[in-house]
Amino acid sequence: MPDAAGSNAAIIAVVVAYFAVLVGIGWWASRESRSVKGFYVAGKKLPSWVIAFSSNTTGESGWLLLGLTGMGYLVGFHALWVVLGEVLGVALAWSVVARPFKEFTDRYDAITVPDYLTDRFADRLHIIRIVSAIIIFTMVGAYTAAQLTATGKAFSSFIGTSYEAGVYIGLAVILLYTSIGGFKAVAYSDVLQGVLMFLCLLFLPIVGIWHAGGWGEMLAGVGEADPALLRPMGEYGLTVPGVMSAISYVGIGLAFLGAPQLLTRFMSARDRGQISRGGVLAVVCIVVFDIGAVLTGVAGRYLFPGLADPETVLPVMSTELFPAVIAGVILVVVLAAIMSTVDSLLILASSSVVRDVFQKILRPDYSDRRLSLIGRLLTVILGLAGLGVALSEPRMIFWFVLFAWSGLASAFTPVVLLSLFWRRTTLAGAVAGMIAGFAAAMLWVVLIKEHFYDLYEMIPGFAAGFAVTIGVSLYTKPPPDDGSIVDDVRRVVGGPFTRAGAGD
Amino acid sequence: MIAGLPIGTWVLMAVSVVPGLVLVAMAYRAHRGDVGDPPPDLQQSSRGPEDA
Repeated sequence: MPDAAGSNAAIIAVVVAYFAVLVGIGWWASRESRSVKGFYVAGKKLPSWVIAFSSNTTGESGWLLLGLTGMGYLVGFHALWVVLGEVLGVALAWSVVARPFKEFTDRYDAITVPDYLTDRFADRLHIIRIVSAIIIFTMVGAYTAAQLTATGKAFSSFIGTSYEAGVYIGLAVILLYTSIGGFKAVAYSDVLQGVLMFLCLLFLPIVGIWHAGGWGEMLAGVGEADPALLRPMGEYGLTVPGVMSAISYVGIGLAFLGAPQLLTRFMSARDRGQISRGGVLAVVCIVVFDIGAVLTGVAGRYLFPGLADPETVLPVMSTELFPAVIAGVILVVVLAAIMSTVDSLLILASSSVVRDVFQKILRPDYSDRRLSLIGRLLTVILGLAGLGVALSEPRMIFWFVLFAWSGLASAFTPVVLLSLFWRRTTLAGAVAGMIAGFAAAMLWVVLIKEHFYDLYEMIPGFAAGFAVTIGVSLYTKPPPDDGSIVDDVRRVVGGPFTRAGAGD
Repeated sequence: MIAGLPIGTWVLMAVSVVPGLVLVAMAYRAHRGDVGDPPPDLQQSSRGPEDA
């Protein structure tokens, strides 16, 4: 099989070159990572284009390239509801949330989301830090293990390595550049990974549609196979299950408003001006990501009907439609999507222990250098723990990833949004809201989801988080300063669409 | 049908993309040139409890 061997050699060469660049970025960023602030938020010096790409690639894991393309294959244009949710989520995050959040976290010199919430609510007992650390650690553990599983599967499907070898290789490279370079390495490697994902999802659907004989030919063929694939409400039509399905798809994007791994990007910006510029880039980027993924799936449905697993449509298209080197590049893009999420999650979980538990509760006397060393060590330990789960339970962990995204977002987003905009929010309300949002999302998956139109758990998670935070806050004593800092920040940063002092 | 797709699908595609772009464009227009270092007095007055 000389052809197969030659193809594999070409793909492996592309992958090795990509890994070398990532490790180089880690080495280059290592100088910034010697302090805790440097290691976890790159010293708050990042420019707009880095935070824009980094937030999008962190939010979009291997799910974008394998999951959303598979969804386009399976349900056709009904998957556009996902695009609506994600584009609106990203746009609102950048235009409404990011600027006051950046201002608050700069004032408190916060470098993690629990850091911010602790100072915002004057939580002297560190309840928020402990609750946050538990939620982040468990969710990130499950999420990381699932992404490592995807790495193993990507390697085995593209190159034919064993699943285990793929997991080992992927983790080794991630740990190398993440533990050396910290958040700066993660953010700049996200830019590289984001550009690769952008180009792939821009050109792959174009090539797919061209192979299908053009836009009209493709749609006629897809519509002939199943007319529901072309309709906005898909196979359900305008019925209760159809509406619930659309709401669930839109709900996926809500996490962009307040998931801690995404909020960290706003914190690490050099200043608020970076946020104004980054928002436009982030939204353009997410539009190309999502529309490209859906159209790739639809084109794949026409070109390769009858795939047993719809989520293999992208690997199938790349190996069938392109020469080996390009297929290697597309494998790199899949790995990039996975790695850009895993590295960010490892940094997030490491920060929740080192900054929020070690530095602020257990050992405030430790030097910065010692703490950043512990951060590196913890990143490696977390990665190895994920490896253990990925190798022993490759099927079970995919079940966990379904709610890891919503668990993190349900716990933090309602509380963070209310802390930014509602001055009456209290410490008790925030703690209760975090626990309620998280618990509601988890319980929904386990007990109710399959009996209620498969409604996505983020919806009840958010509803519970908002309701409990507001209810408990109103029931408890108002904050000591009457929450006046909310007005103060608004006065300084202005409204979402009005400059400070413009009288909005 | 327009260009092979039902009108509703085109509407959904437009609603998916346009409002998001308009939101960030409006925010950019309002805040371009914003640097955002808070005045020193504000930094002093709003430190967290652990910095007090």
